[in-house]
Amino acid sequence: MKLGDVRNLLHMPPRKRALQCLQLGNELQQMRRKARPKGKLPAPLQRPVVHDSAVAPLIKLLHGIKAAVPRKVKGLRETGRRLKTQAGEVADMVLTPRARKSLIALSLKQRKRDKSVSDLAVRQLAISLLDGDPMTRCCAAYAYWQATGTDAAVPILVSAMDSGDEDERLLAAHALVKMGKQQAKRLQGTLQHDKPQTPPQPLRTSMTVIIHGTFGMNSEWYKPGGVFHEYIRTQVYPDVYSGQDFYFWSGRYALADNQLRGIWRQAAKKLVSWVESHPATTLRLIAASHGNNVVNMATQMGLQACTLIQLSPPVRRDNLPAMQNVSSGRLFNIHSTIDLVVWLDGGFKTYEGTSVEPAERRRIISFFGHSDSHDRDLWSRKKIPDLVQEVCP
Amino acid sequence: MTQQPNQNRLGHSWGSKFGVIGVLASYYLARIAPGFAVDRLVRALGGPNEDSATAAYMALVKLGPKYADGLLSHAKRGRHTASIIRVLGDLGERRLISDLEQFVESPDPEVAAAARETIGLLRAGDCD
Repeated sequence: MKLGDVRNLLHMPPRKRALQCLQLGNELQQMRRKARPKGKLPAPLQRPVVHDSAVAPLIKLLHGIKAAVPRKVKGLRETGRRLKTQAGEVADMVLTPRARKSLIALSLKQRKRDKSVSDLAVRQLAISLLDGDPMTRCCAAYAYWQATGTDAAVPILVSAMDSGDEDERLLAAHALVKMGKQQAKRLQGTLQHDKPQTPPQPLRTSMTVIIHGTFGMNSEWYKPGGVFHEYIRTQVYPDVYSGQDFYFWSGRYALADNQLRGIWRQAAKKLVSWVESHPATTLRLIAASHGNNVVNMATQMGLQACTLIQLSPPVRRDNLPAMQNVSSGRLFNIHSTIDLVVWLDGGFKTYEGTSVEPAERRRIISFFGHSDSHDRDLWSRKKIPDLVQEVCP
Repeated sequence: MTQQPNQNRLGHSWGSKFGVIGVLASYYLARIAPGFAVDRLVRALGGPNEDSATAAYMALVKLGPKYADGLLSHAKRGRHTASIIRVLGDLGERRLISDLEQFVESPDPEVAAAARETIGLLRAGDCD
């Protein structure tokens, strides 16, 4: 890092300043070894940032250190937003262009205070946290996090997510995602039913999850208390998940293949996240119809299961389960001889001819019908429980 | 599972079998006689038979947006409105957003929820 890189912040126009901040942040991140403890200013800022200005208390507040900010200060203007810092809520303020220039120039003059160029760069980034240009400010906030590892910039980015400017909102959300902050989820636009449902739960020894298919979100059979759910709970797997925060997905369908895959992908991400918050050593997944394509995609995303029990799956050759993530190496395919729903969909009834075929155990449950595969009477008659309990008991 | 009223002791639902065949026939018929066939699919969509409803749902989505206006008029007449709204969402017809807004205030919570979700989906242009 050269002194010139830091000096440039003084005269650059806003967009270039934003880029320069990001570049400084990248370089400083490589130099930084560990995160700073909370509630403590980084070393370069422990000395006064700038004498006789309100910047120092504002930056202290951003770091979670209580400090009184004077009501009206020369060179600062209020943005009209509020910043929720760890040390309390405060009016959001930015530097006027003139004040920003004079602060940067002053800190360059007082360079002796900083041991190295990188210390000076951190100080400049701290000043840029109050830059009047919103894009530069967001970039500086992200760069400051890269440089120092503190969450000081989070309130700025969170506040930017309420901005009327879409670019600013998206930049802030992107930065927060990169920083791993939950606040960014506000802008992710996930559907209500694709949002995580519950806080993490303790590890279970084993768990069975029943997943509905297309257009099945409102069906009762898979829900706790539903006929098939009760049958599984009382006759097959007592560990079937029976909480009211059971897993479900949109059950949507689409004509275009890429849209259909997008629907499954969203649902699979939700399944992975749901299982993460409901961990179990042994996981069995019983899915119906296109619920199986959701499960297959989830295994591709790394979801670890013991066995997959697939009920009338419309098999898509381009969406096979990742069997390396199925510890028993076994997949059960319960289907009918003639399934017009699968036929209408255009999928295949089995995994025949694919790499999954050796792992597949098929059982024909009826001659004709799609939903017969989750019919409790047919399960009993065809001794499906004996079949599936061969693995992952 | 919702037990069908016409299920016999072996669990075979003959109504279901004929229902799905009817849906498939309607799906193919829709190409030459759209009015009658779409009407039949809408009936199956809201019927009690799970297989027929699923097949009808898939068939209506597969038939594509050219039947969207017809579906909307069914929804306005109050026939299986929530399910039709979901189909319209899957068809991705953004031009129908203003028509769908009237359902947001529906006294039926299922219809209102379906309308809100579908409008959100269409506005977001939810695709890969």
